[in-house]
Amino acid sequence: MTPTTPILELKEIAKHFGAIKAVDGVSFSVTPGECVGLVGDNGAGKSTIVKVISGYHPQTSGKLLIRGKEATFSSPLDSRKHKIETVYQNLALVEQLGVSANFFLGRELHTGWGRAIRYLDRNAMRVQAAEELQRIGISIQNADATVSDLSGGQRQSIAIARSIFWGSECLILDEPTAALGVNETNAVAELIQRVVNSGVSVLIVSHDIDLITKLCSRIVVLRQGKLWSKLKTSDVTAADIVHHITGTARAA
Amino acid sequence: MTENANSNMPHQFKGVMDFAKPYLRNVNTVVFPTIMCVILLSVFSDKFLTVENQLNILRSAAVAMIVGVGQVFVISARQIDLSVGSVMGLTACLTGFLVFDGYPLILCFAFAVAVGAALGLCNGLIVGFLKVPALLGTLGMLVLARGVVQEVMYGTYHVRFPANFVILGQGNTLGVPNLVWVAAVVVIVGHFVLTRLEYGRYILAIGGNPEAARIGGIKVRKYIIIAFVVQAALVALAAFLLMGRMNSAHPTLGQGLELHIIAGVILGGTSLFGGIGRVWGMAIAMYLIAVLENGLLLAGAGFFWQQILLGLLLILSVAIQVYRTRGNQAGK
Repeated sequence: MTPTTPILELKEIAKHFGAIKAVDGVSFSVTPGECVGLVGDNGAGKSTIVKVISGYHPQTSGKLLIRGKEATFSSPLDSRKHKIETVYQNLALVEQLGVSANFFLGRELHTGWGRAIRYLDRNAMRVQAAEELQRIGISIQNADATVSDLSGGQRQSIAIARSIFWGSECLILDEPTAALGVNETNAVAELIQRVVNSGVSVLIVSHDIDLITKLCSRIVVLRQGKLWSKLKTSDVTAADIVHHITGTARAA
Repeated sequence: MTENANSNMPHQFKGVMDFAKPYLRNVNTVVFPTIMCVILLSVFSDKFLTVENQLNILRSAAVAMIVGVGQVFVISARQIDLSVGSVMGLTACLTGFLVFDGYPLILCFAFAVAVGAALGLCNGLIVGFLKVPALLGTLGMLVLARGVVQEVMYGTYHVRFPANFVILGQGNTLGVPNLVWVAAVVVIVGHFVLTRLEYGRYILAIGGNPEAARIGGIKVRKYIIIAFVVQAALVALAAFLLMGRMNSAHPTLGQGLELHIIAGVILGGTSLFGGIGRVWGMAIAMYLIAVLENGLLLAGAGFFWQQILLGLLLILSVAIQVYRTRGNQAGK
């Protein structure tokens, strides 16, 4: 893989649900260390694209290339194995569990005596989760705190931090600032910027045009399941992007 | 929502609710009532705190504790098993045939657990694969298993088992009933599994947010099926011991048990909405229910009062939980 080989590339991806074409022939790529925005109105196919990339829905046709090699995902685990992590709009956190339990959900650390008697190493998970949160600048006083006791911004940060911790090279963020206040949105944006600066590729799906223009170098616009335009953030204004989304501009 | 509701309350009641809020939300709600009941009953009856009476209470609570451990896992996973009573009746009556045929006890025990586990597997498959809501799927099993046992027994019942079998349910070890020893082990192991093992954590994750669990790579269906199998296997264990204790096995054995178990589990702090499980809380709640039943008995109240009490406890425990959940949501 050369430095310019896209870490993630979609070629003519289509996803049909019966007669409904949720996504139809969409192609775009994300290169290493790049932050790309994926925008579109409701029903444009953004969430379906995310689910295809994260292995939730296999595509009906088209190719998914990871670091230049074709990949087939039949479950979210396949996507993870290729170091692609998705942070969903609903965050995929279990509110009743603590921060460290969520951090390690599905990938718990164990201790015990040999292979026969193994139990959760809660202390190690607590320490590692606290260290990781501190490393990327997230302030959570207690790694044992139940997620339901945290603010929306803190929850979003934990979900992102969890993905980074697990060695993600490509992070898909689905509406990362939905339902957040101004200060929390800024804090999450700063966190995403730090993640991009550390060399992780990020694909942001959002309705928040300010966030997209602030963080992304390129923007992919979808409309009614089809690729409408690919824009360079430096070439367009927020108003231009809205025009592309709502339907008055021509395809690039 | 809760604040609006509070604002319409009479002043005195609002004060009581404000006082009770932190207790209701943060303390296992069963501990305080249990302590109060023990104190009150020991004041009113000098028999209550005797070792013999306490062992009797524990003995009568032991079966519910064993079954309750399984139900804690099932309810924590946002499911419910209504079929425990019928599974108990069917398992006991089928095992009774083997006991009378003179098979070794270990084989009889293995048979009972296998029958229970098979019925639990059916429940798990009905819920996991057929996607039938657990409430209805296990309700169906409740009726089905009871029908099967009535048909098999056809108006008869097992009575007067061999002495070596009866001793399991009626005997003591170190002065403590065997039933209580078994219940203690099951509760300790259940608590360990729920809080220290991957399986327990996955059950809580599935109950708390099944979608998050699935995204986390947890095989949700598999763990739910296992929860139903474990529940029914524990019912079989309880049935095996209960047969010895009662020295009989009736086709009506376990009738109405499900409400007793669910009341104890919810009262013990396990969330009816999934994601929170309390094995110790359940054990204390089962003790509390047994204490209250014992208190009624000492007061000379009839059996139907026990049913009234159980119904009230079930309503109260769910009401407390709904209140706590609404309080947590309002607090966000």
